[in-house]
Amino acid sequence: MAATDGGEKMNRNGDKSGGFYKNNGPADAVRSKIAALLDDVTVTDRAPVIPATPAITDNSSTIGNTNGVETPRTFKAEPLISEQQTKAPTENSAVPSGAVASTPPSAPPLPPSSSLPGASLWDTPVPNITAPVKPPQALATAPLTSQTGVTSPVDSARNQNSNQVISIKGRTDGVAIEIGKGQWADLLSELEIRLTEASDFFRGGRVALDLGARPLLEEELTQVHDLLQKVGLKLGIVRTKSQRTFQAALNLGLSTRLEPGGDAESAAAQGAGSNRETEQHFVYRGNLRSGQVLQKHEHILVIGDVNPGAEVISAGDIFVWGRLRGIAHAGADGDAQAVIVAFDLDPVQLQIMDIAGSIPEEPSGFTGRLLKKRRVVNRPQIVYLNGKQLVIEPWDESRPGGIAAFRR
Amino acid sequence: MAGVVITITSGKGGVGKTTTVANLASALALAGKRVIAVDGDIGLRNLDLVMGLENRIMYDLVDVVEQRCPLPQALIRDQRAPSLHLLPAAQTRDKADVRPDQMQAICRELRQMADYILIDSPAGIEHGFHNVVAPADRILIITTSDVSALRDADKVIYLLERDWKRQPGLVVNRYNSVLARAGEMRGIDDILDILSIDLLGVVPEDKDIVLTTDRGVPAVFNKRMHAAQAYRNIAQRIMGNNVPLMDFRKPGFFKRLTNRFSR
Repeated sequence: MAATDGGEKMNRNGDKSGGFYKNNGPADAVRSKIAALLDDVTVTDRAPVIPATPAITDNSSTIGNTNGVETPRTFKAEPLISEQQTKAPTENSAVPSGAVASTPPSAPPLPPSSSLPGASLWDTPVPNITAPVKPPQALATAPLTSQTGVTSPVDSARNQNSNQVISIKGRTDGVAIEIGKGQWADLLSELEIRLTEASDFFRGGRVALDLGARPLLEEELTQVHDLLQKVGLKLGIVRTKSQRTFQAALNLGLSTRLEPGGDAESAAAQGAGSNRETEQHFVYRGNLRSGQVLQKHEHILVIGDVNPGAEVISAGDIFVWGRLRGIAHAGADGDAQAVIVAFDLDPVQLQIMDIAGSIPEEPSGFTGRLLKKRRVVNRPQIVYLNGKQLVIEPWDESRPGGIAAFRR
Repeated sequence: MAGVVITITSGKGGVGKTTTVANLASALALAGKRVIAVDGDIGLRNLDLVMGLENRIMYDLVDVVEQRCPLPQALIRDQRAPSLHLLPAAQTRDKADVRPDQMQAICRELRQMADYILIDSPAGIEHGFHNVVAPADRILIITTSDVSALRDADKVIYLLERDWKRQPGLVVNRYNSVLARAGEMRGIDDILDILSIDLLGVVPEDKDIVLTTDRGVPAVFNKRMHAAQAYRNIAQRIMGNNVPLMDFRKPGFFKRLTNRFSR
């Protein structure tokens, strides 16, 4: 009983860490929305919040640089239930009340070589692979947020499962290989398959290996090194977010770089919000013309223009991959977190919840002057609700760390 | 070869549908095509006035629909261009007196008699609009560059796409290139930005157009007029020829002088 209970708790907890989708601010909402819509690897590159590796490995890294003896246990996917049990209560207390269990996005597109490592892993409801090596002290010392970020083997995998696990990109100066989550042995064999497939293409290049937050041992790094050598590649640099891997690479005498954005940071960056990823999108392709009304409960994505005289109404967010010049009403059911996003925001009227507004116009008798002026400010913009006021910002200022962050 | 039925419509009134029909029909006829201009604005007939053929009307569209006369007898031949005919609307009847299927039947017959059948459409998007859209092979939207005309054109395009599965072409009428260049008025790019359909031509604003419609001589018959060239270009594009967009600047004194010598 207790075992399953603990498992559930962890699952929920894991969801919390997968809470990259739970938007903190509007920019997060946009990013997550776009990430959910596009199956592109590069999208995840930019999202700093995601733990790039499963928490199997995260655990050992958060807990500290454990010595190489204990870590292998975590990779074998052993159901160390007893340890979970001991961990469960602490975990439980760390769960914020706002955290809700997530449902996986439907039908993950598999990578080309469709033998997706770790696929079976996603099907298991309980992340039994997670085994903290030294839970008591670690849990006691680590901040709450970092704890919540730790355990998400299943859910983070689910949230990310639209990505390819291994990405190989040709660069002018060599090859960039990114390795995502999954079991190391599987990943290694898949990497081998894909590299040998294209070995002629890659031969002689230098490799920038991005391992994300996955902690690796010296032996494992040597495996990659040997594998690359076998197909005629030279391991140039190892990029990692894990201290452990960084150390291992140093020990092997490899050129390496420790990048920020480890688990603690990613966990701190997330906040509790409504669980957005369970909601649906409605995609409209084409232009919405004068007199046309698009009203949906789902989030609306318009791939096209919304012309003056047209209306878009959604209980969720509104995204316009084009020009928004009509009327947009987001969060029509009272969702204050709703945002309106458009490439070219020049609407007749905007509304989020029951707060309406319009783009302030300069008092001028000449529409033409306005037309000219508008063309200057032609950046994608985001509209969100700040208290009782609509805020309109260019998207790049609205990001965390954007210019607007300094003004606030 | 069966003729092509082209309906000219706009949604908003007063943007120049009738003038455009008269000029395009004349231009096509002058280019040697057999053309029939049909006035679809039953009850408010105007096309005959603009073409200067009012005094020769014996029978009209409703007479043909109600079979009081055979179709060829209702056609009025234009003396200025032998291959140009007009099928006038009834002034004393109502739009509800004709049904879309009856218009289709008439146009089926007209297709055998001409290369191009141009239908002038009433303003609005009600019954009369359905009458003229139903038989159309191609549709031209006329708009000016002001807000209300654009808004109505946009709505009409939406209706055409939704109810009739049609992709209309666009003619921008009364385009003031001076104001557009100064940024005071929407330019062609701005108009196309909003409407996003294929542009078939741009007719520059020309105060003399008012005089031509008033006198019943379409501008195309006047070689001097600036706007006439635009109509001739559109006619060429309708015939499938590729004509570059004209220079909207009115030729100045020296240009006209050199033009005269080069002629």
